[in-house]
Amino acid sequence: MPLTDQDLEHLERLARVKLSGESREKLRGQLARIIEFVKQLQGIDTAGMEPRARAAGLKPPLRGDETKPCLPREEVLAASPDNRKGYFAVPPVIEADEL
Amino acid sequence: MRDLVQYSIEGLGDIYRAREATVREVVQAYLDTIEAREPRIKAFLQVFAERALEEASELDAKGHDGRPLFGIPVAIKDNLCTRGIPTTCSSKILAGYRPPYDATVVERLRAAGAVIIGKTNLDEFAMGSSCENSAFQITHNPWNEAYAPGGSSGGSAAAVAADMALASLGSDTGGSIRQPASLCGVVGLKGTYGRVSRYGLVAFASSLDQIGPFARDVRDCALVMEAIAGHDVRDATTIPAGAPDLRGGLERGFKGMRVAVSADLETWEMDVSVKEVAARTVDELIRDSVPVTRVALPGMETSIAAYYILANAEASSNLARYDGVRYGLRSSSASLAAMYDETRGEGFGDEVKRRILLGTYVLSSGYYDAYYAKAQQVKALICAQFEELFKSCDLILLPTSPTPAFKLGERLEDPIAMYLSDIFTTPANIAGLPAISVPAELSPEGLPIGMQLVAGWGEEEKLMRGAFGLERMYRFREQHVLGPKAGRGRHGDR
Repeated sequence: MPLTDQDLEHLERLARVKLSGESREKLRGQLARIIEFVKQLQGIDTAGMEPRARAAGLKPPLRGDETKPCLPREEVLAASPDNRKGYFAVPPVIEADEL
Repeated sequence: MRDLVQYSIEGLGDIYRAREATVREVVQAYLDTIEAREPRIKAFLQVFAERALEEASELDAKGHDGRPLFGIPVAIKDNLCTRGIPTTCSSKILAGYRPPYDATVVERLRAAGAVIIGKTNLDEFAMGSSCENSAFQITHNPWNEAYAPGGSSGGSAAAVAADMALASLGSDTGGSIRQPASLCGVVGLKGTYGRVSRYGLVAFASSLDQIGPFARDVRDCALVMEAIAGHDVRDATTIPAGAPDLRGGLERGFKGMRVAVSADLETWEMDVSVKEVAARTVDELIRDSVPVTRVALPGMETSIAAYYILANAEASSNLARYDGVRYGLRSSSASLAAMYDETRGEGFGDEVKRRILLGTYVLSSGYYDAYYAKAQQVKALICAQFEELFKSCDLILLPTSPTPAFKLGERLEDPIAMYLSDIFTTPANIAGLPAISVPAELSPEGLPIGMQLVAGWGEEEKLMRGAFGLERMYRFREQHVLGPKAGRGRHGDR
């Protein structure tokens, strides 16, 4: 079953990944084949099985809500492409033509 | 000059204690090997020559203090965070990224006295089975450079195979330690899910990822695992117990254990040389009076599809953080949304994009139940089947990889052919079970073939005993060494 261009655009929007050029077409074909491949799962009888997230039954442990030391702000900001006055700096959230 | 790279971890410990060599001399010997072989293998993204020698000198000044990995040169897969040192996951989107913290396993290796000799190449974000998806370089199989080392931990496997590190760390989500171990002729171990802390491992699929060691033999592998395993408050999925003793019972091998093998292995598509190794192994076990039963192995038909749904769904979520805001690549754009799209479009390779998009698809509205929820039901089924099987056996024996190493470039155009490399390894990830690959024989073409053992939940001790039994049976290292092609000539006997 083919993956339409609209399907692919929808996924690109959800995943916030821009595909371009010939890799876009190639990916579309490959994705369609992979989806067909994983579809085989639907033929498996899983009657009575509860969906399982964790393999073992271990419950995640909780701890008290106490503040603990964390990474110093300067160290974290040091890795960023742009930061100002202690904040991460990014382009405008709303594009000019959306206003 | 003695060949200092020939010694095992315990062997080096003896040498250090007897002051027959310094850590600096050993590290230099490994750096010399890297210099000779690395240009053709390209296992490393970074080699820490100066830093490693400095650390070696510091260790020499203290003298051997009994720590289990004192002076042992170790390589680390580049998806493990090393403070202040570039950690790229072989991706353009993290080129030059310096984490502000060490992974727990890195801390534990250092605490055990190890010298970190470099960061190794991987498939980008650990997504792949050949190391060909690295954004920076291709790693070559030390046994034949025209062939892939396997993946995603291909660099770590190749480094140990070519004596460029005495041990290394990789990560295994669908087979990424075991498969390259098999293709490179080394031991590769993935413990029970939760055995090793994932704090500082760049996440691919959080419910499947596990860090584990590569080593030349089972005893060395056990030693490294003991050093890194154990509960960590910083990873809430870790098992609340210390590292198990994995060496005490090794010599017993298969004694007292029952082994299960596939009843219909011949029906699976795999190289004839792999089938023959599997058959010979079973015959040998039977000759040694090890009880062997033939059963339908869980997950053989179902786990690959379930894996590619669950892993990619989790990956699509985990890789959402690479958006150009806080670290890594940022494409210059007029708006925030465009910045996300372009940064991720530019920064991710094709395989990563494939997996993110597939993950997005199976989680999206209208498809979630048919794919993701269904895959979780299949996971429950596979777990239940393994639990049932382990009531009547202690270990499962099967091949690690359906083929020996394949030629570089051979599987690049067909993602599904690449995915099928993981057909024997994904069941253990889905069920969270410990599994190991042990080098068995060389194919007629001179490429390594490994055999895999899987044990019940938490049963690494049994797993290692069985692995030792296999190692003793195969005598792989006594019979096969890398030849002159690897650049340094034959080793002496160990």
